[in-house]
Formats: sequence, structure tokens, C-alpha cells
Amino acid sequence: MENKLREIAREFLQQPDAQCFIGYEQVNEGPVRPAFIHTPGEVNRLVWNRECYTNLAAYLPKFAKTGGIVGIAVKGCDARALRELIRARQVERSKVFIVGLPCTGLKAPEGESIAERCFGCIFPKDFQYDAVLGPMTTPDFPPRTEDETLSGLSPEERFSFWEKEIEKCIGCDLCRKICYACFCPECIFESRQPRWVTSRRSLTEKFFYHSVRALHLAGRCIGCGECERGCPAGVRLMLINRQLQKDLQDLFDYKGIGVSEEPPPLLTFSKDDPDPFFGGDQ
Amino acid sequence: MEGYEPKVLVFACNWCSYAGADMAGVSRLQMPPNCRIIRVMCSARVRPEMVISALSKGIDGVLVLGCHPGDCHYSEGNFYTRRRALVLQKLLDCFGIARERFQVQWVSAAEGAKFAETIRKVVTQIAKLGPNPIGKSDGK
Repeated sequence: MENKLREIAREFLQQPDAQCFIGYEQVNEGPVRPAFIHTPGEVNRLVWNRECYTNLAAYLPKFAKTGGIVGIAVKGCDARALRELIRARQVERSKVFIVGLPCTGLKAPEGESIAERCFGCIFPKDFQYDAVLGPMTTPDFPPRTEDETLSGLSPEERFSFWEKEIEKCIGCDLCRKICYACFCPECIFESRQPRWVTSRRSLTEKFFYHSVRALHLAGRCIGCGECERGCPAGVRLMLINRQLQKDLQDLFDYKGIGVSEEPPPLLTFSKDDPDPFFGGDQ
Repeated sequence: MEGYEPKVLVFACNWCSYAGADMAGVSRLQMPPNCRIIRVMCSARVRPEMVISALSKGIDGVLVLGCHPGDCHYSEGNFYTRRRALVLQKLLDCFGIARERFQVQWVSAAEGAKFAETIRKVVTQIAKLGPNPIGKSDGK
């Protein structure tokens, strides 16, 4: 399969308007990392295995205005991110060459089992790939039973749980930068006028950061878990991301981002949305 | 919690709820003085960031008032408010913050009595909850 990927990439890079091909490489048995291939001669660096974790679609908005066509290898989950980027006009469909990787579940960090993020995996329906390595069908990993870390706690316990988690945050902004959905040209956390957070990053500011980040991802998170995998402080970000996506699906009968052409739920509304605010107790 | 007075921030939409507040004032309805009202052009103007920012700066509760769904001056602003508010309440649940600290209510320009009633109810609920826990261990 790796050979087929290299062949596709080589053919793509031989075209005159090809700019680069984004895939994965592995050097000396080290961790698999993203690779930017610019010439056909380099394609043998490309690999495809069960440790290709990074969501490469996150690189694309930065390439949107640079001219040539960018080739990219995407797993099913990343294809959902890419579809949302195209829908949000951050990426022009004609400027990307999409190669589908038929993923059968990533490896958990320890052992040979399936990574947590792969349970409940959905591949996008009728998404147009330019080339595929094999049939892009959703692997059969039914969603896990619900994580009870949060639901098992009383509100007070939940608050102190998060206080301890957020206290660990070092404010490196990795979770924001690694995320495909954080493509705003001017981020609220970088804005000077008004200035929402300072570089002081006190506990309240970290609380603001994490709650606003979670809100901005509400309905956009594909659950790739890259924020949590990358977090140097081990903050359990996916607990809150997963919970919010589940809440949105329950509230607005929403199937998940990028699964179909539906826009994210917070960009639209229905007159029949639940309305607990009318009169009665909330 | 002797002598504790909650601080409640109210965002009122210019076209309905702010006029409703006016109505309540003109009708001389009694309300607790714990509210700070901010006039916004539409309830959808209230970004969730504003609510979280207020809560993390020591406000004990935030109340957003808008036109009744279907009566928005801008046709559909409050439908967006409704979706956002539902999500924000879920987020507060997730963090273990009482959802009473963020409330939404629809108050029209004619509903001065409902305005006063809402303020009374919200202030009582928040007074019962006590001071907002966010940032207490922060010395801020």
C-alpha cells in the first residue's frame, strides 16, 4: 500500500502546477511525523502505517493562497476535517489533490490495541477523493460506552476536577495550533483590541481559554484527539470536546461535522429547537 | 455568607427587553438593585465569550434578555442566541458550574411585569448559590 501511495505522489508531483505533497514519514524507527515532499525523487520517504496520527488537513489553510496545487494524504477522519475546511472556504477544492488512506484503526500508544479516538469512527459519505489506496469504508468500531469520568461526579467535584486539570496547563497554545478547526486569521486569544486574555495566564484566564476553545470547537471537532495527544501537560481536553459534541448531537439532531455537507450546528438554527427559556424553570 | 449581595449582569436587547425594563421602571415595579444592565442591539450580539469573561471576572450570574422567538427585530437573531445558549449551558454543566449562573429569558417591550419578575427570580436563585467559584483560588 505504501508503494501505491508513493506511486500516486510521484505521478502527482510530476505535474507542472504541483506545489508539494503532504504525507507522513518515519525516520529510523522514530515517531511518525508529517512530511512535505516537493520533488518526485523524495517520494520514498512517504510511509503509511497505524501510527500516522497527525491530522494533516490542519496545514492546508496556510497553503490556501500560495498558488500551486497541494497534494495531501487523508484518513477517513481527516477527510471530514478537510470537507469542513472546503465548505468554510478555507481551502479551494480545485487547489488540493486528495489521496484517501483506507484506515483500519490507529494503534493505541501502548500495545497493539485500537486507539481510543477510533471508536465511533465515521468516514464521510460521498466525499470526492482524487485517488484512493483502497475502498474508503468506515471500519467497524462502534462507539464506546460513555466515559464516566465526568458524569460520575457531582457539580462541585467536577469543578475541582477541572480546576486541577486546568492548573496544569502551561499556556503553550498547542491545542489551538494543532487543531484543523482553528483557522481564524485573527484568533480571539491573540486579539489586542479588545484584549480577552493577557500573557499572564492566571487560573481564571486559563479557564476562559479552555472554555472558549471548547465552545469554538462545538460542532466542529472531529474527535481526532490531536490536542490531547500533543498536550505537554496532559490536560484531558478530549473529555470536554467529546461531551460537547455529544450534547450537540442530542440537542440538534446532528450527525457530526463533515459526515455530510451539513454546516456546523451553530451556524444555523431551526424554529423547532428546544426552548427551555420560555417562562418555566431552566 | 453574611451580608452577601450577588452581582448580576443583564444583557438586554434594545428593541424588546430594554424597553421592557423601561416599562418596569415607569410602572414603578420593585426590583432588587443587584443588576447591571447593558443594552445590546440584539441578544445575538452577546458572544458566549462575553458571558464567560464576565463570570471569570467575578460576576455571579449573567442574564440575557431578548425578544420572543419569531419577534426579533432582525428576524432571526434570537434563534441563534437560543442555540448558543443551549450549548453554553451544556459547557457550564461540563465544568460543574451551576447553569442558573447563565440564564436566558424572552421579554417583550410590553412585559414590564415579566422583566421585574425575572430579575427578582434570578437574583434570588443566584443569592442562594453564593459567590461564583471561578478564580477563587486565583487571588482574584
